[in-house]
Amino acid sequence: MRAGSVALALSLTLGMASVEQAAAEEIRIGFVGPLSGPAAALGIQTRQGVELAIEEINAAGGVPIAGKPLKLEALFEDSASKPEVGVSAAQKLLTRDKVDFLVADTIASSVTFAVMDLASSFNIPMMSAQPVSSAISDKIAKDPEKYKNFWKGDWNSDEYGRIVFDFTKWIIEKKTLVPKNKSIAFVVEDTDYGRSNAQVAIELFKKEGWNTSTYEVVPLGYSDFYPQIAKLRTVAPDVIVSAFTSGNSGVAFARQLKESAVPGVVIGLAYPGYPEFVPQARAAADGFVWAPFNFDSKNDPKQKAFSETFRAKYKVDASNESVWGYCFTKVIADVFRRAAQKETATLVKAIAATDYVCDVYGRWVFDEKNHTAKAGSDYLALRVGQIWNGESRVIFPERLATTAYRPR
Amino acid sequence: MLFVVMLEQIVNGLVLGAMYALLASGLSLIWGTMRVLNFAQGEMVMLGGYAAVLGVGLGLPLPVAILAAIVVLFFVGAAMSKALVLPLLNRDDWAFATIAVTLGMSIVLQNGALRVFGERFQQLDYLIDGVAAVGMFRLSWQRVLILCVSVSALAAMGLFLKYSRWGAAIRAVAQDRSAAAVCGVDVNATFLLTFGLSAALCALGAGLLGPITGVYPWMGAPLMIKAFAVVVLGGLGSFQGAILAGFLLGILESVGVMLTSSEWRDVISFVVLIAVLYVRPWGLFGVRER
Repeated sequence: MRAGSVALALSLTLGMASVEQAAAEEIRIGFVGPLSGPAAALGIQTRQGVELAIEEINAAGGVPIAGKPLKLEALFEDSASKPEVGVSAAQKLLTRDKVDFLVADTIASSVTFAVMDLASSFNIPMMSAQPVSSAISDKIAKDPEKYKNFWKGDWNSDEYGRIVFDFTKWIIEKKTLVPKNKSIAFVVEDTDYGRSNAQVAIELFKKEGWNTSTYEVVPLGYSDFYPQIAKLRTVAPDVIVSAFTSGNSGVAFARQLKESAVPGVVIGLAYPGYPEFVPQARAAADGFVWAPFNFDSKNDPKQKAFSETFRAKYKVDASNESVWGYCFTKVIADVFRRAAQKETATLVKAIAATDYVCDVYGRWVFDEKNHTAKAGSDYLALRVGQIWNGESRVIFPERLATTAYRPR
Repeated sequence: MLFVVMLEQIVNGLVLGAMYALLASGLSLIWGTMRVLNFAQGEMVMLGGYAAVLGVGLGLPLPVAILAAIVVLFFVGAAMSKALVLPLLNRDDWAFATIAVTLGMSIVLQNGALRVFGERFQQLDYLIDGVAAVGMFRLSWQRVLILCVSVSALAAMGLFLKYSRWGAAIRAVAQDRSAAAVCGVDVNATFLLTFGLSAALCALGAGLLGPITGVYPWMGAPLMIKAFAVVVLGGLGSFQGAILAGFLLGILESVGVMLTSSEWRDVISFVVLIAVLYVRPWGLFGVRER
């Protein structure tokens, strides 16, 4: 019995020692994101992008830390898009795996919102990847001391609302839309992504005298939109905005909308960019306006090349999430490269000074006030696309457009 | 216009209700016969969907692929019952053990599907394209088909339970397992049949619903939450109760969206559920136990 206890203690000690040793010999980056549940597709595509970037960085010799080149290692934990699961996953990465840098969440704002409170308890740099909720930035800005180590890697949700608003204003100016009653309708999923994007747009349109004819919030992964679409027919809005991170919701919405012949400009957020959207929605995708169209594997030569490399490795098409995971990992590697050490304060200073161009996506510069990646034409630029005959093309901003907007 | 849309909402509710009824009747059948709550029922829907997708992938026409999926799922359900549920029924803690094993099975099947089929969802084609349009009233033929096929399948199941030898066996076991065994009913075979039929109904549901919802590892989970509510509303173990409660809940949800907002959809359904249970704790068609 006693011998068994000693053996157990010894093996635990050796186990811990090997974790410490591994942590010293490589740069360990922990990623918390959805690998199961309705948003798993996005989480897994992001993970693939991360793995591709790490493979390239390590093949090129790794990142020099204190004069010694260290390899990057990514450790992934599943959040299932649930805050409580995400917090446990983050704690495991922080305490057991002793990561040098934590990314949480890769997709869900609600998980980030919960995990970021660990920032003051664990003295390591942390960052959210694609969560866009402005509430995260607001939280940082309100208590900069508590969140001094926490950063937000993507733009804020008000950018989506703004691009929807700017685009609508632009097509009105161009006289391709003549609003009958200045009304806008929202069908969004019950996530922070869906709600926060809609709220920003509602405020902007309200200031211009528009009314929100209906605001429908449906569960994540929802697919029976007939009741909502029947309601859209009664209110006949000029613009319909939909936001889903679950691909099946997007396809179901597009197909059912086409069946019901609801008129109006249809703007989709997130889902029309998923690789399965166009092949599965088929003709129902025609005329869809969508954002962010930041990954164009057909018309952008650099993204096309990325897409080919990605396909060769994973045998599936790359997506906005995969290219995002790829570039985001390169941003983190750049932070370690400039810091040249693993000490938290130095890494945080390096994050603040980031000015990194990932040529397949955009330029990362952080706003020091709210620790958030800057958006705009000089930084991470949002583009609006439109689908016709199965192909998306940029239609807005006008200077980046590869084709003109056509009403449905 | 408002009248037409309200009519559309009622028809939408009937279609949704038909789906709830299809899935809940299977659950109710299992509970009525075995007193087991099958938490893996949603995953039978998911497996049914993937079986149909595989069938189409093998070159079968969609209706044939759905029929094949129904047959396959019948055997999958029976096998699951034989391997995992039946061995637990003689234990003292069988009630909890069966919940634990079906819940565990649900998790294993979801994650197994994620591993085998991948994270991206798959779509089945519509069985019938086009839209039935009468004036301003519009309804896709796929949804007309869902309603007709579901109602026919439930009616066929009702007739099977009432008039067939095996249906009589199921009803006898549901009424009194020991007495049925004494009278020569093969109780274990009846259990397997019940699980198999329930899974087959799920596969039919998946084949009809797959073109609308897509097929993915978690497709059964939200449906099952509603199916459980339907079973309780209709009365635990009541086949007819599950069908009527399914339609009732479907209509309530659709009309509720029209009158309020999507956010209130579930609130309305569950308030009605609570109100009914307050007045009739044994459900609309359940039997009061004294």
